[in-house]
Amino acid sequence: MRIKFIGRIIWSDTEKDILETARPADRLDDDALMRRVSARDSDALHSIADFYGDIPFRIGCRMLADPVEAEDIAQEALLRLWRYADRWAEGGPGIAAWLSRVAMNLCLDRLRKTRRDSDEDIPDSADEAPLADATMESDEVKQAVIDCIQSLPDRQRASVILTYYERLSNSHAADQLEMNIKAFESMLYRARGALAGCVEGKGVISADVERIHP
Amino acid sequence: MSAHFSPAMQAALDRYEVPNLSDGFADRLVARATAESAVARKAVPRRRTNSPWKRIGQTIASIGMVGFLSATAAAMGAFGEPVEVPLISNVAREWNLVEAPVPIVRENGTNASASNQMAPEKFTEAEAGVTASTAKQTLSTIIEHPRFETLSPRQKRVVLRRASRRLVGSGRSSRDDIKSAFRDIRTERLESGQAVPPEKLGRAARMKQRLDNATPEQKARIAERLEDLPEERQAVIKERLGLEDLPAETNTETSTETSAEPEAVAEIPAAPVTPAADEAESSAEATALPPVTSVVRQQRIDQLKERYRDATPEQRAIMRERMQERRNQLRSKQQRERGTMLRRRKN
Repeated sequence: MRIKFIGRIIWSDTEKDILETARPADRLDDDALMRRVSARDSDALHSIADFYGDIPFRIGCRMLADPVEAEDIAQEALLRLWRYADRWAEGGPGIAAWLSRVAMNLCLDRLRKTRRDSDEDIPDSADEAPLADATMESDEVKQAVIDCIQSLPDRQRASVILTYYERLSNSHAADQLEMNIKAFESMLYRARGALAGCVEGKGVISADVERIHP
Repeated sequence: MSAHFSPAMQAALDRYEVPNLSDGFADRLVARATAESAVARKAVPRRRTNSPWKRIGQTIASIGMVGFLSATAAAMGAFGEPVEVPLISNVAREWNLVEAPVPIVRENGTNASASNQMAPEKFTEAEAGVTASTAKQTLSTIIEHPRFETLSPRQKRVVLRRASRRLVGSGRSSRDDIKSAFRDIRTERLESGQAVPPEKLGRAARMKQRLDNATPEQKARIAERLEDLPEERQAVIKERLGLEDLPAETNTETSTETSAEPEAVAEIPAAPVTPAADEAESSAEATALPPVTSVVRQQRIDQLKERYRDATPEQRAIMRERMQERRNQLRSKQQRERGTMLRRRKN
């Protein structure tokens, strides 16, 4: 099947192959969709939710480690797109980039608010209690990765999620986090180091690697 | 991106998969969106608020702008007379947008603030058209400027002081030159009769002027009065008035000059037509003409003299009585006016 990239995020050639946000060619153009949304066409919003709804959901899941809250984030991001459709600037970075940015900001706001409202001290390490999906899968490696990602500071976590899982370039990720590219790369370097140290520290990599590459 | 992690690390990270969106997500979203649209047909985007610093800056800038515009309007005369505002007034005058404010001239010259505020800017040498280099010419030009006459004494002093300072400061004249220039100008103006009018003179100067214009009879009377005073007092008065001696002899001729004392007008009422009355009147005038009756018209004086000369002794007595009454009335009137003036000055 021929693949067309609806979003205007610039991907590298190798990333294009694995890009999860790749859309079939018969999908509508972003600007045309937004024109319809601006005209309060609910079908257009439905299409956008079908095409792009997983982007904010994925970001929410990995940032908050909670699929319920992630769905709430995804819904809120898409509702904002619906509310502010009349402000849509055509020729911009596209719906995918817009939703990604809004979802990340919503996640960071929610994390900040949760920390402010919580009476408990911020834990030094991630909560050891397994998450619901993690319990179901009982995957030791996955749980270790989740714990390590959740133990990262918010913005370091966001940098890893945007660059590794969402496959954004450093400049686009820095732009979404409203950071200077140099500062972002420095933060990303620290985040990678911390994440690798954490995962390796849990002793799950070697066995897993042997399993993958026997 | 992914190349920054080792293959083992990438494999571990790839294990972190997320579940799919729940079924019916898009339907729930559309339902919520349409419900919102039903409440508010058109989504009104929240107005983006400025940062607090920007708001404060805008407030300060607005206040400053209002103040600047008000000051400019006042300087341009939008509220009546143009008000002197530093910098703005100078710029407005340079661009010929407004004329220089006319100084407020006060009769008494008691308002120091007004004089200080108005005077210094008005009489620059350039404005007065001064091109001469000497102190005397410079100061004379300023003094003879028509607008200089409109200033109060205090304002005049300020103007002349500034001009003097400029002359000394520029090195064109020394302090002694300035002093001698003022002395010469004063002498010349006194000689040419351009000096300050009598009502603006000091008491000693007024008396001196009155004495110069006095008739011989009046001078004789003054001399008599002076002789009645103690010697020390006589010396002081003579020194102040610049008198060496006063004519002692009594002269019946009337001075042709009129005195500058306006309140000294004494109109003698018409005497009875009888010859006796005229005789009495003329003799009384010859002996006891009051020193303050110097502004009476010459014709009237001559007329009265003739009538007094022709009057009978009884008529002359009546005339003298009337003159005495008139004199008393004048004195009481002068006292009242002086009292009023003193009260005004105190207030």
